[in-house]
Amino acid sequence: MTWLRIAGHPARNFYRDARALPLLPTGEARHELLLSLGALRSSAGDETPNVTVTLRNDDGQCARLFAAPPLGAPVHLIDETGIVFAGVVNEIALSSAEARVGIVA
Amino acid sequence: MIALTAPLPLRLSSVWSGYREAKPIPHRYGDTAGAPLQFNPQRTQFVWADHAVAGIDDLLIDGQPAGGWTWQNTTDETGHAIARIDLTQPADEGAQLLARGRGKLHSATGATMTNPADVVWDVLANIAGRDVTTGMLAEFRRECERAGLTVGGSIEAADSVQAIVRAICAAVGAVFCGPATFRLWPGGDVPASRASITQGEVECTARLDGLCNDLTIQYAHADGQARASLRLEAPDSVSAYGRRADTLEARWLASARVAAAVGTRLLQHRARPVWALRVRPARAVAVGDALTLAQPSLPASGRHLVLGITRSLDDGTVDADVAVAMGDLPAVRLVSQSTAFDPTQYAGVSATTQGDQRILTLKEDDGRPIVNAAVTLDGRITHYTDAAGRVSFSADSMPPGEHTLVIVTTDGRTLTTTVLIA
Repeated sequence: MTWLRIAGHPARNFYRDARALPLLPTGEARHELLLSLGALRSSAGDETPNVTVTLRNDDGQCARLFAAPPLGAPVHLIDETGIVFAGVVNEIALSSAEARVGIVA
Repeated sequence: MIALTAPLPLRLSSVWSGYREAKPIPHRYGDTAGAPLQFNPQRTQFVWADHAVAGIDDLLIDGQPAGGWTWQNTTDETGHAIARIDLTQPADEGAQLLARGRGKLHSATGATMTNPADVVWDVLANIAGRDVTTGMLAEFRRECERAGLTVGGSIEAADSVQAIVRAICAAVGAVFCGPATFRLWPGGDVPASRASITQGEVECTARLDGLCNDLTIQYAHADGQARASLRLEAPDSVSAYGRRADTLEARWLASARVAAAVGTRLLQHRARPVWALRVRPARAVAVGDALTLAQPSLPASGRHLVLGITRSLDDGTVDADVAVAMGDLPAVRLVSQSTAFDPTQYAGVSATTQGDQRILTLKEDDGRPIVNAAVTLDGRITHYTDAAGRVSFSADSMPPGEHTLVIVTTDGRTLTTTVLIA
């Protein structure tokens, strides 16, 4: 039941389905657009730990939400136990169906 | 005509009987500096440019001002126009010569070529022999003129035509869109729209890596080395995204004023998040055309310049690339500037105190105000003079005592002086 929280004004929480609703912070924007969380990448080399989260954009929802792309905004992947991954938005890629949010630690 | 990817066909000094080593004979434009080439075996004649020039103002030998020299526009033994330096005494073997001057004259107007449009026309049409006329570049010329953009630099190596033209464009914040199409970008005029994007597949990417809010421009090159630089920042963007620095090696910029103007325009774009969009217009477009974005699923709208196209060889479809900076234009400020030029001592400054401000007034020898000059106080703070030649600094930054001013004028002179505040 992991969801994505992007800090900002307002802070936005992206979740997969209604089961996550009780866990989400109150008073923050909520969007049922989370498609997949991708794989968390880290290595002993010079690769910064990173993960790419995919959101739905079939109605252009993310294009509207990210018209001013939240580059550099603090991001958390959170589940019932707490923060799974913390980073900042490094890249956003939109297509007609999806929005991919690249996050680096 | 030669290909854009081919080396620019510069003449080699081996066409002269007295040449020392075969080197490309330079073409020089605007205010520029560079090493002249040995012309005769006696080492009393050197060629600065492979064409007539407006003037050669200084000659340094091993870094020291040379005495006993003249220059002239003349022809070499092949009948080709050259700008030649004649020394009264032979230069020592191994001595390093460096000449500063004003470069090529326009073949039609006779004026020194400093407008970027004139320089790229000369490179493309007169040196590369490509089918480019001044008329094709008239719009770009006007746009550069309105923006006050001038260039100065030298072509001393046979780089590709494309590399040279793109370097000129990069220095003034312009893009080379096609055989004879140039646009100021970012921040220039956008032409009438050729097509609207209202539906279809799109790809949009915004990357933090591409953001820059601290830009250093290195300019005024001589013999391949930058002799001056200035640093600009967009403070609000630094606060929002952290400091993200980059350096622009502007080999074709000769003046602090133009470097500051170009840097400001570049930072106003690069200090904001930029959407890179790939869209598929319904009708053919070319690089340098404009598209109107009017598709609800796009994160940006409005009229924008096409910066690239990708044409499918399978189905003929064309995808167009545009880049849109989001948010308000950020404020940009000059952080510092420095110069390695030998500064000229200057004594035409007067200082008064009004309230908590020190007001300095800068005048030329003939009494005219020095307008729009960048004045750096004690190497720390840079402000510009107004139309009356006045510039102010806070009394806190200019307490009683001796202060050093470095003044860079709009025509490229660097002056230094000291001011004593009682």
